[in-house]
Amino acid sequence: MNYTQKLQANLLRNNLQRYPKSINKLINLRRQAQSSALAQLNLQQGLKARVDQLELMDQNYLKEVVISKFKHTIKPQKLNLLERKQNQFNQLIAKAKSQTSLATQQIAIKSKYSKLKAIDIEFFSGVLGPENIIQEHDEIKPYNIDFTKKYVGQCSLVLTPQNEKQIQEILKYCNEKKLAVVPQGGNTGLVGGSVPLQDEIVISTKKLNKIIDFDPITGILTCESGCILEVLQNHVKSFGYMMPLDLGAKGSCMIGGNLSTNAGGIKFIKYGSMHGNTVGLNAVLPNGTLLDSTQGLRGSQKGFDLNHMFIGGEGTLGIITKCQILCHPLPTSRQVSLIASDDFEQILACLRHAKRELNDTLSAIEFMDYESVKFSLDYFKIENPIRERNYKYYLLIEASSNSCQDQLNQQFLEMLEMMGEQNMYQDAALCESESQIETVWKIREGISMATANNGFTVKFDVSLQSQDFADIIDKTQDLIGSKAIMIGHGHIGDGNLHLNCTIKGFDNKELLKELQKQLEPFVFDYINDKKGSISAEHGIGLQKVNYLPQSKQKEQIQYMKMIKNAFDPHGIMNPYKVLTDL
Amino acid sequence: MKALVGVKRVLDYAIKVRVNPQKTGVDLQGLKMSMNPFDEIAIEEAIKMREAGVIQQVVALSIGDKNAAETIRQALALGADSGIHVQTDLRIDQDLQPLAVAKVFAKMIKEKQFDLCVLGKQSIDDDFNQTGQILGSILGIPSATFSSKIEIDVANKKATVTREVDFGLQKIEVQLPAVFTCDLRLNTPRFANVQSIIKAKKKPIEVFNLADLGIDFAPRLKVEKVEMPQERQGGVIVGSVDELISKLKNEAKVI
Repeated sequence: MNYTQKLQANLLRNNLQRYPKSINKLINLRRQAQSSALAQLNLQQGLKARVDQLELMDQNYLKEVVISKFKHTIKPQKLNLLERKQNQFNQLIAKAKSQTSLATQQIAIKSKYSKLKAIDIEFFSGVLGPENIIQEHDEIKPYNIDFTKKYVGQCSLVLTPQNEKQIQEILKYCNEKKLAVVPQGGNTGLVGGSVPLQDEIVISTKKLNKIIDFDPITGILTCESGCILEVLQNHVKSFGYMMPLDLGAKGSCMIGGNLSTNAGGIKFIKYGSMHGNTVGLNAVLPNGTLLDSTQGLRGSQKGFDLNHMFIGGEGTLGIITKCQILCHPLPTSRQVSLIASDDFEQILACLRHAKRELNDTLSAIEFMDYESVKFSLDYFKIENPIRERNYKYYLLIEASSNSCQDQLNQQFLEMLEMMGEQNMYQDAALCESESQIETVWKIREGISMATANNGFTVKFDVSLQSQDFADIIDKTQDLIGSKAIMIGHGHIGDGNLHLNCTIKGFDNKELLKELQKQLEPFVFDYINDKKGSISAEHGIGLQKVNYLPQSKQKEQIQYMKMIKNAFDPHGIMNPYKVLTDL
Repeated sequence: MKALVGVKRVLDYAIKVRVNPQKTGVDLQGLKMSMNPFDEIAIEEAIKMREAGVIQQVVALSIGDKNAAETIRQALALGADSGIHVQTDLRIDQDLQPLAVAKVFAKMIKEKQFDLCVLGKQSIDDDFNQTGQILGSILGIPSATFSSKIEIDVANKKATVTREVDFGLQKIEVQLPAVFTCDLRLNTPRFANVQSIIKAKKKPIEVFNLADLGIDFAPRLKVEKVEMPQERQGGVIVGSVDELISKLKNEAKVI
């Protein structure tokens, strides 16, 4: 029992007989309600839990009922003591609130998980070796904070297993002891899915970084799930192949995470999703079972293809440990052009024309508005390739093929000439060297980093028809006025827009919350009206848990929950993410 | 005033360099070629001077086989007024050397009376860093090399140049006509605009044959062998001083 409870109990015991029965009843009922609620909650270090705990106690109860009722019986010193305790409580609540993580949804705190004990740490140490256990606070910090700096966990133990077998052993143990775990790869996720909410154990796959095999005839790459995407890209490049996906985070993200979130990226328009490009994968289930499908050739998956559960499963069904990715021959030449216009209709005309004319040589088509480009240019300190003046909208078009560079350049130039004659753009720059191509891509790929470094960002990753891109950016900017800047950029060829609201600096959490409250319902209503999706490629994670039911059929979610309970009956895999109310 | 700008077609800066199997040179087969990055800076500077009204005409010159015309087209697309293409089938990354190149430029400057010549400080394929200096010497005119800032005084036919040297920045004054060679921080080259690329197709390019210019362009240096540099070995952490000594003695053989 804590101080207040003791105090209450004492006061009530001492003065109970002086009160009319009805008030006693009220006091009793209230006491019962509070203590049962308290009992439900774990007295854990989670600060959110502490806030709820304190709020449940209805601090005003002290003032209104106890003090006012007992005033004539309590000695003045004791009254002061009560008032002081009251103030202390208020301070505690204020402090806890200011330190709480920024998840704005009401998340039901599960008390069904065990606390980490010394005996557990001993076990992990025995299985993994002491060098693969991280407990130091400073070392743990990066595992607890996500890329957007909005989600901060309180895990106190990070495990870095080195192979599949170790993962099997530790997961089996965690499942038996009901210890919640969060699988983590590169921790570049943008929806808070890769960091713990409370003190879940982080299992980092970073040491599973072996490239096992690459077959240059079939193009199938076999590797462990902790391999960094850029490393894999460079590896297959030496064979004249390319990975089927490419994202801005390639220098840090790991293929396991890419699979778990069914990552899209800039190559999506040509090579499709990870569902189509994954030939096989190994996943470890919470009960320690290894599901192995990396032994066969392409097209040998028969029966229910369980792999597709893990692709996009965001670590809630098991940990992916190995995978076989289908790689494609690397085109020998590529050419990039940056098109600019103040009129969004022109951008759409270019999109339609380029898709038709370039056909399968079109390897990427990306949309950026002026504000996104500006952030990127300022952050990297480079000049706008179109320097005469600034335009409202920019379109990056990339074509790649196996014809020689001059031929491709000729084709591309002819297309741009035709588009110019038909008045489809106001200005267009064409790259003349590989370095220029890399510069233009840097501008597009660096937008995420540039805005993340600028300050807090409210991020939306939506599926929307390309016609509505400019409209939603304008409408949301009108909504928030001059409080912040709305920026929009994304894979316009696939109808995937990254809509971000960014404020300067990391101090104004109040403004961030306010903007989130204003924008989320507006954006999600807009998306629902247009029959889009609230998450196109970033996943659900923690951020969109409460919005998933709005955009997915109720029955689908029901069956998803059944599958989750079948794979993970104790619910230890990445709790609170993707599905809620299990 | 007229300016002559030298542009060279080289292996693209971002492409990984490989040696050909005969070890006689770099493998250029089917790889992407573009304008030497320092020449891009030179063109940009000349165009800027014309936009500022300091000079009235910018002519781009390139020496090489028919592909060199591509590089001249690129220079025209960036804003040059006309081009000169000196035809030759020699390997321009090895066999056509700075002395010969400087002689070609000298002949052009004398015959066509250019007031200044802007070159990149070196080309990224041979890295000689000699053409500008030799050119100035042949013509008996000043050469302001490693320029990071050029200010032309038209009235007095002078130029003030800030040069990047080992010990910092040096400011010099040269009389025009002069040769300028450009360093990295002189400016940021622009991207070619689609409209200007289309317009560039109509600009004139004069073609000459290297053999007809009456110049001794034979290479003075013979390339014996071209090799990749030694692969950098990873470092090794040793456990004790004894181990270090034994490694230095037996493996590295330095003591």
